[in-house]
Amino acid sequence: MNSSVRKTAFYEAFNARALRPEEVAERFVPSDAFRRLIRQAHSIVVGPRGSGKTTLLKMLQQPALETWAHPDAEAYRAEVTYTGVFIPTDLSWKTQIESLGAHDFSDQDHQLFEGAAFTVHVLHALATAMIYRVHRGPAAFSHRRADLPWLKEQAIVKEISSIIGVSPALPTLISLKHALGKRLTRLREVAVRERVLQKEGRRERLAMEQVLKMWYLEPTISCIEVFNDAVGEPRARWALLFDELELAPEWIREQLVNATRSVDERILFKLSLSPYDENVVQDSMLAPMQDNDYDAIALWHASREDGYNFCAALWQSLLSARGHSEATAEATLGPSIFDATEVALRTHGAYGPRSSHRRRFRDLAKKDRTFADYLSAKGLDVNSLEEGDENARASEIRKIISIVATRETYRVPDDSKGRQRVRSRKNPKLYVGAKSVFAMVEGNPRWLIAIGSRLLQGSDDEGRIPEAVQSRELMSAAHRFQAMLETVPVPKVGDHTKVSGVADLVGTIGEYFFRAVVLEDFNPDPPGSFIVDSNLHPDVVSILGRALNVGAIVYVPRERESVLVGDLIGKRFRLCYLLAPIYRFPIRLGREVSLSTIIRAMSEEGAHQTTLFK
Amino acid sequence: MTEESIAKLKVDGELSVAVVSDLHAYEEVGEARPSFYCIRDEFEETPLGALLPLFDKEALQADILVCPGDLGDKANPAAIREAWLRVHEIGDHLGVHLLAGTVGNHDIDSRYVHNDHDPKGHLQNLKPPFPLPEVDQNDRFWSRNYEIVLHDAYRLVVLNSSAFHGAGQDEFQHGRISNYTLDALKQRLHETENRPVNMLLCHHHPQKHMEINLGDYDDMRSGQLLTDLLGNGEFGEWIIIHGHKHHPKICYAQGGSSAPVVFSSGSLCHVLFDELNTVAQRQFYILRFPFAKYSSTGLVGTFRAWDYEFKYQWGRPTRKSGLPSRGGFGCREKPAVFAAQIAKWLGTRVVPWSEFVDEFPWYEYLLPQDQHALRTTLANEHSINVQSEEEMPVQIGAAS
Repeated sequence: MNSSVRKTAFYEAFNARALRPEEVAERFVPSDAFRRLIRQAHSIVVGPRGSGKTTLLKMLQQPALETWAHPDAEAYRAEVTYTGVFIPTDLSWKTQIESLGAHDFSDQDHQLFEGAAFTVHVLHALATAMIYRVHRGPAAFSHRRADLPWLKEQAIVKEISSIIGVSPALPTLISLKHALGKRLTRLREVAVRERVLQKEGRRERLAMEQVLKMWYLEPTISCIEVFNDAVGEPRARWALLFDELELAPEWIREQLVNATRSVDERILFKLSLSPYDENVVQDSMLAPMQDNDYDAIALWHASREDGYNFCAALWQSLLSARGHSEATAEATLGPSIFDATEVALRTHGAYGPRSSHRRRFRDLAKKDRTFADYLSAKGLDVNSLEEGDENARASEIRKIISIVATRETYRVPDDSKGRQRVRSRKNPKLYVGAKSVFAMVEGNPRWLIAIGSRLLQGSDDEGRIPEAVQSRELMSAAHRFQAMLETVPVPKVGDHTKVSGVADLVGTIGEYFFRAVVLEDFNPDPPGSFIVDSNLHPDVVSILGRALNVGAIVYVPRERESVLVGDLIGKRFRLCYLLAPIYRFPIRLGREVSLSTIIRAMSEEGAHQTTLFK
Repeated sequence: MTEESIAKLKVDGELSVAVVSDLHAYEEVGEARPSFYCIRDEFEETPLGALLPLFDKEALQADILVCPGDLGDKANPAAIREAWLRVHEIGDHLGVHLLAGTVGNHDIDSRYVHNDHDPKGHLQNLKPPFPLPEVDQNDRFWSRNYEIVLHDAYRLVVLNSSAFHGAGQDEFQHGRISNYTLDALKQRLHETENRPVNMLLCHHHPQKHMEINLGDYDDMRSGQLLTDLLGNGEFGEWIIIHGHKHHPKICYAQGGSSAPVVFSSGSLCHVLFDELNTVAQRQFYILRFPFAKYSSTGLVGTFRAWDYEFKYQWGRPTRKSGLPSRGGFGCREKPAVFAAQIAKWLGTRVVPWSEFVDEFPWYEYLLPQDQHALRTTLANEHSINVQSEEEMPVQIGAAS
C-alpha cells in the first residue's frame, strides 16, 4: 500500500524528502510539535502524508540547526544537546532483495537481509552525523561542533572499523562512511549468489556471512561510546531519527517502537509514523506505553483553533518573504465567518443592523421556514439580535452562526420552483478569512506554503488577498486534493461495502453532512463527525485507514485517548476541512454519528441523490 | 571579436573553449531518430536548448565555442541551417568572441541526396557564414581546406578533414588531409608566430581510435603526418579537438613528449550505437587553458564535462560516461616519479585534498587515465589511498 501511496502527488514539490537539511531549515517555522519533539525524550511523531514529519526530523540534524535563522532559533538550538542522526526509511531495505528475484527466500532469510541492510543504513547515517560534528566548514550558527584532532580521528575510525567489521580506504570518518556504502554492495552480491545457488545449503552459507550477522543497536551504542570518549563528552546523547517508518518492514518497526522502553541512556529514539497501519494492531503495540516511555506527537489538529498560532507564524514568514513583514494574517486574509469567538464578534460588529451575521440570519429566516420556526421558538428576533440579555443571546446565536452561514449560502427559498433545491456556488466566499484558511490547511505546513504561495500571487501591494482570489484558490486546492484521493489505491472491495474507495467514502460522508446542515429541517446541532462502529465491513475500515493516512479524514481523540489510532473501531473522526468547499459543510466539529448510519442513509437515498446533487 | 571579451581574456590569463560536437540535427521523424535533436521540437526541449539553464545555474562562460562537425544528419540542409543558427545562440549565451565550426561527413551531401552536383553548396551559403565568421576566412577554408585564426593568446587551425567527400568513390568513408594541404599548412605555420595555445579543430580522428570494436576504417588519412608536424617542436604545443567517433577520450598523439593532446569530443546528442551505450554518454565540454603560466608549465589545461540526462537536463557524468566531470591534460610526469614525491611529502598523514593540490598543482593537469594510474601506483607501491565523494577526491593519506 505504502509504495503505491507514494505515487500519489498532492503538493509533492514541497516534500522535504528530497531536500538537504540546510534547505529544510531555510523557512522552517517552529510549531508546538517541534517544541515537544526537541525535548530529551523518546518521541513518536504521527501524522498523515505531507503533515511535515520529515521536516521536523530533518530539523534536528546539525546542518539544519546551524543554518536556521529564525528569531527563536537560538533558544531551540540551546535545547538540542544531542546529535541528530537522520535515517530515512529506504524502500530498498525491503524491495532490493525482492527485486533480485529471490522468490524462494524464506521469511527468515528475508529478515536476515532486511536487518543487515537496515543496520548498514543506521551506521551510515551515524557516520554522516559524526562527519557533520567534526568536518564541516564554517556555519551561520555553529552548533555542537566537536574538536577531533587528526590522530584521534584516526584512532576512533580504526576502533569503529574493527567493531563493525569494515576496512575503510583511509582512517577517516569520510572513508568509514564510504566503506559502509560498499557493505551494501556486498549484501547485494550475497543475495545474488543465493538466488543463483538456490535453497540447498543456504542456511549454512548465510550463517557464515559476517555481513548478515549484525543488528544495529549494539554497534551503534559502541560507536557512539567511542566517539563520545574521543571528543570528551562521555555522557552526550544521540537521537536516532527514523523517518517514514510505515514504509519499513513490520518487524523492524516493532523493534524500534519497543526500543523506546529501555536501551542505553545515551540514545534517544525519535520515530515518525502514519496514523494507521492495517497490518499492525498499533493499539496493542503502542498504547500501553504512551506517555510512559515516549511522547506521542500528533501532527494534526482535531480542533480548528489548535493549529492557528503555528499557521499564523508560518503565514507571517511567507508574508515577510514577499516584503510584507508588517502585515498580519487577519489584515491580509480578513475575518472568517466561522470564527464565532466573542472577540471576533465584538471586533467585526456582530449583530448590529449592518452586520453580515444579522443579514444572514434575516435572509435565511425569509427563505427557510424551519429556521424561522426555530428562531421564534427561541424567542429570537432577526431584527433585534443585538438586544436582550448578552450571555443568553451570545450562547444561542454563536453556536448556530456557522450553520446559518452555510445554510444561507447553499439553500434556495422554500417556495422556489424546479428540481434543484440547492444554490450552485462555483467558488463560495463562505470559506475565506484567516481562520478558515488555516483550518482548511489543517495546520499542515506543506499545504499552507503551497496554497499560500498561490494566494500571495494574487495579493495587492499591502499583501491583502481579495476574497475572490481566496475562494478560487481554496476551491482549486480542494479539487486537487480530491483528485489525489481518487488515486489512493485500495483493496478490491465487494458490493456489500457500498463504497469503492477513499474519494467515494469521503464523498458519501460529506454529502450526508451537507444534507444535515443545509437540506433537512433546521437543526442547531447537526452531525459533523462520525464514529467508526463495529457494524462496518472490514473493507470499509481498511479504506478509512487509508483515508486517515492521506489526511482525508482526521482523528478526533477523546480526552485521555491515544493519538495513535491503531484499531479504528470506536474512534471518532471528522472530514478534512480542505474538502469543505466541495462537500459544502461548515468548518466546525459537529455532533458525532455512527458511520453505519451515514452509509445506510446515503445508500437509501439512491437515485434520489442524483437529482439533489448534480 | 568584441574588444571587451578580448580584453577580459588578457586579464584572466586563461582561455576557455566550449565544445559542442556531432549534433546530428534532423528534420523529419523517420524510422529511427539519429539524435535527440529534432529541429521541429521546441528549442528548450532539445539537448542544445537545455544547455541554457545549465549555463545560468553554473554561471558558465567561454571565450571560444567550437563545433567539430556533423551539425546535421545525412546532410539535411534545413537541419544544418537550424543547428548552425542555434549553435550561435549557445555561443551568445556563453559570451564567446569566436565561434568556429568545421565540416563533418554528415554535413557534406556526398551521396547527392539533396541535389545531383554540389555536395557542399548549402554549407557555403549558411548564415551566419560557415565555418568562421568572416567571408574571407571561409574563402580560404574552402579553397585550401584549412584556415588559421590568430589571436595574441592562441592560434586556431580549422581543418576540413572531409574536403574530398563527394569526390573519390569511397572517400566519404573516412577523413583525409592531403599532402598538398599538409605542405601548405606547414608553410603557413612557419609564417605565423607560435602562440601559447595552439589548437587544431577537425572532424575526423587523426589517429586510430579503436575502442569497443567500433572498427577503424574511418580515421583521417595521413593523420599521423599531421600529428608529427604539430608535435615536432617547431610550432609550439598543440591540442587537436575532433568529433566523429562519439566516444569521448583524451590522450596524447603518438610521438615524442611534444606530441599534441588529442581531445576526442563525444556527441552532444546522438543516439549512441549499442556498442557505445555502456562506455559513453552525450557530453558537453569546457576546456580551460591557463596560458599566463605557460612560460613555466608549457601547454597544460583542465576540462569539465556534463552529461545529457534526458528530460532536457544536463548533469554530472558517471564512470560510464566516457570523460569524467573534471580532468586535465598537459602534465606528462611519470606516475612512479610523481607517486614517490607524494609519498615522501605525505608520510603517515591524511590530509584534505585541497592541501594536496596546493602542494602538487600538477595533479590537475594529468589526463584522467594518468590520474588513475597515479592513484593505483600510490595504493600499490606506497599504501596511499585517495577518498572521493561524488567522484571528487576529498582526502589523501596513508591507508588504515
